[in-house]
Amino acid sequence: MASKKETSSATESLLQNYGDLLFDLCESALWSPGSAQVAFRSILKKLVRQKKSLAFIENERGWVLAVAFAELKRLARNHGRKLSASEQIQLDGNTNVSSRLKQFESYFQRLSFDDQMLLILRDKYGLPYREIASATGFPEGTIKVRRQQALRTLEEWVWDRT
Amino acid sequence: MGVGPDMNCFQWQNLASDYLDGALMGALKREADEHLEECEDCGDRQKHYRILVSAISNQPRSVLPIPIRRAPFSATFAIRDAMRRQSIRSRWEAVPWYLRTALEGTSIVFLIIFAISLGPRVRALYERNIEHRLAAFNESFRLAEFSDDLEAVQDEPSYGGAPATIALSRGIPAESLDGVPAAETEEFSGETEEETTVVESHASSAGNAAIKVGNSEVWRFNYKTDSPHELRARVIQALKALNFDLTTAAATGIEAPGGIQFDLLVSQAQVVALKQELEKIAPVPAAAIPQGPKYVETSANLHPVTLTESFAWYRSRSKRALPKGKARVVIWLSQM
Repeated sequence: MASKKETSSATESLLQNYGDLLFDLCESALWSPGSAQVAFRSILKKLVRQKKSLAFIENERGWVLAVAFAELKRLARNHGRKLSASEQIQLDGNTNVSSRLKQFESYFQRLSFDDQMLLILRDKYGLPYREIASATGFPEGTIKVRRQQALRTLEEWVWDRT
Repeated sequence: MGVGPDMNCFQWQNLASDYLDGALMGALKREADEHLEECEDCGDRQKHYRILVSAISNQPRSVLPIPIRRAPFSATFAIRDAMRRQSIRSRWEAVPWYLRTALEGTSIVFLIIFAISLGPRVRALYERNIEHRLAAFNESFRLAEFSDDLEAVQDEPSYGGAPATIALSRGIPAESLDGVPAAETEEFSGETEEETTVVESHASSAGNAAIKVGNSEVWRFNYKTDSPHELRARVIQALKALNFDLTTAAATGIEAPGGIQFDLLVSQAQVVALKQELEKIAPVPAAAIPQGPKYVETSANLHPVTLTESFAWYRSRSKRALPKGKARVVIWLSQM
């Protein structure tokens, strides 16, 4: 039976509105269900704690994403999935585009955390640049440029344009 | 904002993100389209970008599991152990770097100090091992040196064989020559101090009657002399007087570095008599003679012997068992 603390209204509203988004974001960033659970719990604790102290939140989703981004970045340093040497060699050894596309997720993991998050927030969730900028702390122009550079890097890996 | 009639690839790259999003309008979009039609490379890139964006958008989306939704702070899954291991690792890495560095550095320093402190102990063990091996080598060397003794001893019917053979060829501890009882003496129990004390002067025969010879004892008689060969003749004479078997080389004296050694296996009953005989031939020290050195008669002939000789005897327990009823007697005539 859940404790009173766990079913507080703040927690319930956050879970209701952003639970799926946060959990999926955690799994996308950390690529591990276990790590994602730890990250989700940590993010939710921070959100609940901050929500109690904040009187009014202008852009709630932006605030949630900002807290999530900062926490995921911290956790990704220790729990982010890193490709092993054999996996790297296998990726570089793919000879045709179709096999590389099949391993698109592995190529995606090669990108830095920031680039991965930019592409996820923009291309997976379709969030506007303004919201992504408030979540990540990067200017909008920088986000566009970094997105283009990340796509170009992926394109070079998959289509062997190096 | 237009970029000119001929948009180059670099300019198109800068606008690629907006072009993908369909955010370009008017003249800019027209120029970008024209560039893509003209530039095959940029056209291919654009197609690839769209494929990549669709691949990202088509990634599966996870739904918050119901147990976590119900109890987000306490729900755990079967992978708890893996997470616990990860959390332990992350807990350590969550410690500030300067604390981690200080703790790790301190641990390394303590490990180094501990390793250094082990050095003398390891060295002591090594030296002890060397000493044991040296002692074993010396023992085997003496075995080889007195091989005649070994053969003679092995002919003894009552002799046990190898263990007693080895006992007969043991050397004399250096301390015995100085009159200090050897380490073996400490192993001997039940004796009075008088019996174990080394006698440096001409011993009186008054206490000899009270001496009891025990089992597995080694009796050592040490002479310091200028002429071991002369004294050797006297010892042989004393042994003959007691009807000892002098057929073996050890019984007649073997020349060793530093002197001559007699090594005998005698019955316990004969030890005291032998002691008395040996005491008789032990000369009086020069300090006790008021008028210079004197000449001592020997049965062989008159040989001038300088009276600077010293005599000492002691007994100890043999570390190796001797035949029952037997005692080992070692007479050492050392060259002064």
